[in-house]
Amino acid sequence: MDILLQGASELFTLKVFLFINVGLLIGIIFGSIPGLTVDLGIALFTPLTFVLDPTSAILMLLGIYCGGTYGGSITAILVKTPGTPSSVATILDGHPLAKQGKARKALDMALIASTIGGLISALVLLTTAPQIAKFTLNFGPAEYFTLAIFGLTVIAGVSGDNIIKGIIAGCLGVFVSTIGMDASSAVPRFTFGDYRLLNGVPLLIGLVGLFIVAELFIKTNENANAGGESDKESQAKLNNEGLSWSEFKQTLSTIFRSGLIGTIIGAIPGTGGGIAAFISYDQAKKRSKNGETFGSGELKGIAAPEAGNNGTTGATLIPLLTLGIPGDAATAILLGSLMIHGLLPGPSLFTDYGHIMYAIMLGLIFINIFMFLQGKILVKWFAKVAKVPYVLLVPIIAVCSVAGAFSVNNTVFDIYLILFFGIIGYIMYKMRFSPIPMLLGLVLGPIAEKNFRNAMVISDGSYLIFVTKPICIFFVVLTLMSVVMFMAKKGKSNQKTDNSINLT
Amino acid sequence: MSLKLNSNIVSGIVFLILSSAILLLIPQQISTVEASSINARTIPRLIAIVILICSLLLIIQGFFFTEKKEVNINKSVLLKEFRGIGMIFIFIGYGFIIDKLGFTISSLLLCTSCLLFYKVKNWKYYAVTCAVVFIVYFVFANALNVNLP
Repeated sequence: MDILLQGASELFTLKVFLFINVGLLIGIIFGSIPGLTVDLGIALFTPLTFVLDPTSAILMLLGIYCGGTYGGSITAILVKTPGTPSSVATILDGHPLAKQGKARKALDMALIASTIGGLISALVLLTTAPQIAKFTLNFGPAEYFTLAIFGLTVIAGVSGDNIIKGIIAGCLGVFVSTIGMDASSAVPRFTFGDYRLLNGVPLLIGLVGLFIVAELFIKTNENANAGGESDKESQAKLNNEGLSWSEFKQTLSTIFRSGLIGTIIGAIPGTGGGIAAFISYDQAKKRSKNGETFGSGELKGIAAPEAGNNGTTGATLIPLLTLGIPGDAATAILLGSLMIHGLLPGPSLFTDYGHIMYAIMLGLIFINIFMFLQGKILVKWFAKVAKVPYVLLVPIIAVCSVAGAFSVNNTVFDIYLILFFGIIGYIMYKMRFSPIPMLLGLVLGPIAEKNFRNAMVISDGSYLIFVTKPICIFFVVLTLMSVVMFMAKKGKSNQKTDNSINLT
Repeated sequence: MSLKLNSNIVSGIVFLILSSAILLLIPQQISTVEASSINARTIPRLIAIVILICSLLLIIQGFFFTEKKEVNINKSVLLKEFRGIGMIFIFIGYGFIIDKLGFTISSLLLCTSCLLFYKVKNWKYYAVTCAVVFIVYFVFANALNVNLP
């Protein structure tokens, strides 16, 4: 109880609430502009949070995460273009309703469902995460190592077309994390005699290079209409009637059910908001008496995916904060951001920084409340922002990334490194590799190596330590299961996988 | 011209070369001071071996289990590829000049080059991006106390 109160006192300050709202504003803007993603938003603004205390910084980044997940629905409803992949399902009923002249009603529904879904998820996080964290206190180096390997494979397996490519990318990330001075023996590794590499590759540099700079190259390559300026596509009008109380009551059970579905799915690493949105939509359609009207502007068809995708926002933090395993791409980047702020996700986080953890978990509830208020008041403005063309954003994002990268160590060398990682990310995209496993390798690599070496010292060099401890066996079995399940799943859909070089 | 390409074979070969290079470079790049068999070389070596095995699996997968897709290398495909590569060169150029000209001037040049590359004619876009450069400089220098180059 004491720690909860400490967390509350950490949270209830004007500064923290201000940065929550700044994060939300940025997140909704990033979510509502097609081409900008939540991942990019978190990566881009992490350097700017350096000057903040960990609570304000992480809550600002979580504001971007939650706001971005909701923001994607704005363009999905108004211009039939999902701002984020998790709002694809919202188009199905959102845009038809907007075309009927009820855009305001559709946007209200999306906002309310997102808020309630997010609140359910935040409450589940608050109640379950500390209990899981208590259990993980028994972990030693061998358990940490097997856990890190599980974390690597689970995302490596689901973030690309091919698990072998996922494993290679993960290994590449671990390899990059070994560059610099070895923490145990202080010998340089792969520095090629360059003293600037002795400190290794900073996590943020990898993050900015792989997720922002590479994305700019990819977007330039992909966007056939790059030269096209402002999108003149007609947009649904917003000066019409909003959601009524009776309509809200009719959709309430759908919202709660979808919020719970999203929460359960979000807690499983490697899933994400997109899957939660489609499963929630499918369930709502099957359970509705008006199932046949889904797809033509049904309110429940907007409520379900939005409550579902925002339902994952708190739940993905459960494996992230307690075990150090991210649930999706955005939380993989958040994992890096937490570490940059000195918060090492995993079993020790709740004992070492319990007050910050409680502030973050309580803060997530307020993030959803503020998200509702911002969405309600600023929706017309967000709808206009969504029309900003990508060509204008490329140089702006580039300049912000360079300034952010420079601020890590105040050295131009880091700018060269982000360019290098940007090119690596672009080549990986061309060869159909996902950058997420590489980032995970960068994050989890040092944890895995340190604990592997410690475990080997404890066991006198015997590898049996990893298969004789019950928790280690549990994670080893989970790792093997996730690899086998992914291979079986890919085997079934193998003919759908495009393995050509990415030229189209 | 049409080519039969398969990303598994290409990436398998790339990573086979990379992992072999890592394995060859380890003795030269990592000196060991520890007496035990688990030392600073262990993880890099293990990683290189895993990449090497996975690369071989990718090559086998590419040759025997996945279809090679025929891609027509026509003008539009080449143009699209040049667009991505062109942007990479603009950024490399930016990397070269930032140390010499400083953040503000080189960023202004980067913004202008990007918009020219996209064939943007609207002057407002140039004005907005240039204004952002000054705002970013101001925010980093004053609010975040970062002395940009």
